[in-house]
Amino acid sequence: MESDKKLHISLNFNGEKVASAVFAVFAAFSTVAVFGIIFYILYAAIPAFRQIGFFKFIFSDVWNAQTNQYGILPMIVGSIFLTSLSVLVGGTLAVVTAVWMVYYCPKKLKKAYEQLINLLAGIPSVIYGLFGYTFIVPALTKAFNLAESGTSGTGLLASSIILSIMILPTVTSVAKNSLKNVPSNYYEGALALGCTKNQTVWKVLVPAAKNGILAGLILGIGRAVGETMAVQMLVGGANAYPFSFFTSFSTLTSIIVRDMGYASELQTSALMGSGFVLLVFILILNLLLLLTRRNSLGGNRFFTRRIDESNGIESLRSYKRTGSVQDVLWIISWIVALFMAFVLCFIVIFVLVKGLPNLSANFLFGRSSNRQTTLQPAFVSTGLLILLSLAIALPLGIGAAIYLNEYAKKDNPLVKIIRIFIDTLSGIPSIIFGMFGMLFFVTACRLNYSLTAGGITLALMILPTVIRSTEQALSEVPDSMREASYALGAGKLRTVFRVVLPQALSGIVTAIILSIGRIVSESAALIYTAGSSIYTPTGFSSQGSTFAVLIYRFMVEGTHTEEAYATAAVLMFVVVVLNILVTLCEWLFKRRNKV
Amino acid sequence: MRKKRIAKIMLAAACVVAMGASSAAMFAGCSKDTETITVSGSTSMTELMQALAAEYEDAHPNVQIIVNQGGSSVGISDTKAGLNDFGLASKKVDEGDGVKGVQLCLDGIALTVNKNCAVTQVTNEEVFDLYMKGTAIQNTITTAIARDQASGTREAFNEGIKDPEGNDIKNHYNGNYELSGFTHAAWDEQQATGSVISLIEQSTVSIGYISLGSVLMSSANIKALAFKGYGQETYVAATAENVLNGTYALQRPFTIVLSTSRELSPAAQGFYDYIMSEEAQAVITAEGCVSTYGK
Repeated sequence: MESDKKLHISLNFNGEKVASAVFAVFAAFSTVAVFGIIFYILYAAIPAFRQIGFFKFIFSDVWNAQTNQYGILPMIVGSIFLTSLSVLVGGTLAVVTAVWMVYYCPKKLKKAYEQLINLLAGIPSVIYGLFGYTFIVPALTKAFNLAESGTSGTGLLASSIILSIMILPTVTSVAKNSLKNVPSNYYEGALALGCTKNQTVWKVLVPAAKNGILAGLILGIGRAVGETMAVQMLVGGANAYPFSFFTSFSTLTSIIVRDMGYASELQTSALMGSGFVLLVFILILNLLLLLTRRNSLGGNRFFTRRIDESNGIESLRSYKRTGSVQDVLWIISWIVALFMAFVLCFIVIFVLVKGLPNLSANFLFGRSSNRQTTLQPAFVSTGLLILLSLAIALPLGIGAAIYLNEYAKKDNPLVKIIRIFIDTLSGIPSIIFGMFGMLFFVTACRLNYSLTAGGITLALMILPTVIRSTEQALSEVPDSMREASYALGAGKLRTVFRVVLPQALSGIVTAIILSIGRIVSESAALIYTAGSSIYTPTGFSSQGSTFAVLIYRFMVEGTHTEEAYATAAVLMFVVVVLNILVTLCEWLFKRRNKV
Repeated sequence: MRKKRIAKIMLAAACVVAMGASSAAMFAGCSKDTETITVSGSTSMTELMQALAAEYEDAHPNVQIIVNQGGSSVGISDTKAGLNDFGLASKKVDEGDGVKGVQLCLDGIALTVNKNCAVTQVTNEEVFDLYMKGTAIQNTITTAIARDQASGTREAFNEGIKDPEGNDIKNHYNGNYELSGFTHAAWDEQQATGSVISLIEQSTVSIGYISLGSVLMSSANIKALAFKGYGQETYVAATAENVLNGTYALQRPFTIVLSTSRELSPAAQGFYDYIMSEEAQAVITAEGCVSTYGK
């Protein structure tokens, strides 16, 4: 809107103004995307709300395709139970891990441990599902002797174990940042008053960072509520309340994957309704997040030293043992941190050991057909999807970041709103993107199930990552460079493109790598937009499956666990390489900044 | 400046990789003229169709056969809407409403237990009582394993087991369990045939229902029970012959759904002719289904 005004008012129509308007439009795009998603999902859910009745839909516990009765109360309860349990367990572990990483981790280990947590965040959810289904579920069945009574290990316990691991990195990284940002005089003050290090950490520093920890937990809740593929494989899938650990049940997301392929018209609409309820949950969580972000930590923004700048808190020895609760917590934090490292290594090694022996040149590159599904189509589809989604998201995202960092005034309310919507977009679960992509790109735009539809959907998903990463890099470019450029007579546009952007290049490269990571591990959104064909795509208009989608396909068929693991091993390899690349990039960036 | 160059090189490298991948895609894709046949429908028939498609693709390298899953109703509605070449339904399809059904073969639903289970035969009433009321079968089998709602096997089971008045039990759990939203206390729902088999393999007190073919093909420690259907006088063994002669009550036809208004494309006609031919019967039998060729 602002851009339109600018275009009309400016009689001396020049490149600078056009550019500014274009960047503003790019920045506003996230807002449009969020509204588009909410509107389309609601629009598709309305027939169900109308025919069934909104309250009956929410509060009835019948879900029966034969009688066309749909109620989602068991799924809502299922989602709430599962989320609460996994946030309780995963969130606690995550906070303890974060405390350990900031205050206790030996300096030499710090970088490596950070890498581990990043890798944990990078493992695709379909691999977590595969691991849970083929390792956790049988282990539980055996441990609790469930088979004797004829039940299996699927259900609340198995799914919340996996989900706890999955949300851990999200919570940890946010909590860690806020713990790092506690003013270091809190620490020094507490020590001066005679506290031991352990007492200070648990009674002063952790409470001081409570807002950030809360924000991390809310993000974790969002991740847990929206998680689809892993959960779908582990909940069991019956329409029941999860009142015992091993009852088969469903969640708002798992019901969508279970029934979408089979659904009649009204049922599809009911599934969209389930998606809409999920979306409402997510939006509420986003609002809560906004509230916690308001209060920042104490101290002056520029002159207060933070914990991570003060030298060597991690190396400081506790000089006094009091045998108090805090000392026990200190020991627990070590145990938790080592345990998480063990869990991660176990998952990675388990997947590789199970997968690598099943890899062969033929399976990787052979011709894929009904006789034998190979990974060749996945290489091609993944390449095409990366190309298309980056081609869309990079210009949009970089443009938006330029607007937010270079053009917009810092206290402009419009900018604040745009930021809120970018955050919202990044919090929307991938199954919602998948449903939106199916409704809008596949059906309404008549793109059919195709790589084009999949690529555009993915572009929406990676947009927030691109914007944030680029903006971060832009904001770290010193103002003196801009001023020098202006002083030499360069215009704003020239300054941005010739001086500022090249400086922010590594931020953009990081954004690209992070985006590729997101694309290769995505499955829920792609199944509903790009299909799950086993053939090599012939262009952007044909269907295609990525590695993650193929893993899901192999698993659903039930008899192809070896192939699923082989594919998972390939995907794991890609994820590890991408993680290393990100670190490399950040390292380059840091080194240059020091100069 | 050196670092800047490194960053630039990395960006360039990323671009080159992406370009390379995409151009490779184009070459791989455009190298041959392929004809695509799409069939969609019953999940129970997917494995059989994939096996048939694999055979056919071997003989016709320029044909791609896409087998989409989606349940029998999707097979019929897709055929009506022209979204596939032909549909798959694991039930009888009458001619009318723009579609007609042609029977491909038969499939039995086997009541399956652990090999070490003492029970060897069950009646319709016993199965009904266990699944509906939780009454143990012959004081031995206490746990019923069911499939999820989207399963075609479950649909066939629902239609095969009758209540004392001779009605399908699906009417029953509409009235009792599923309408109240609860899964039967004594029954566990599983999403795949494989998980039903693995549960039964580990428990001597459980019963489940899976495709007869899956029992015959499985190397697992399981067996199919003889079954006395509603109104039947004797127990009938779960074998291919008894399915074929109709005495084994728990069975369903695998049906190809054709549009009455639309002709098959030449490629699809070729595949259709193949699956209906004598040649294909070996594949059908090998997949555990009951061939009805020439019967």
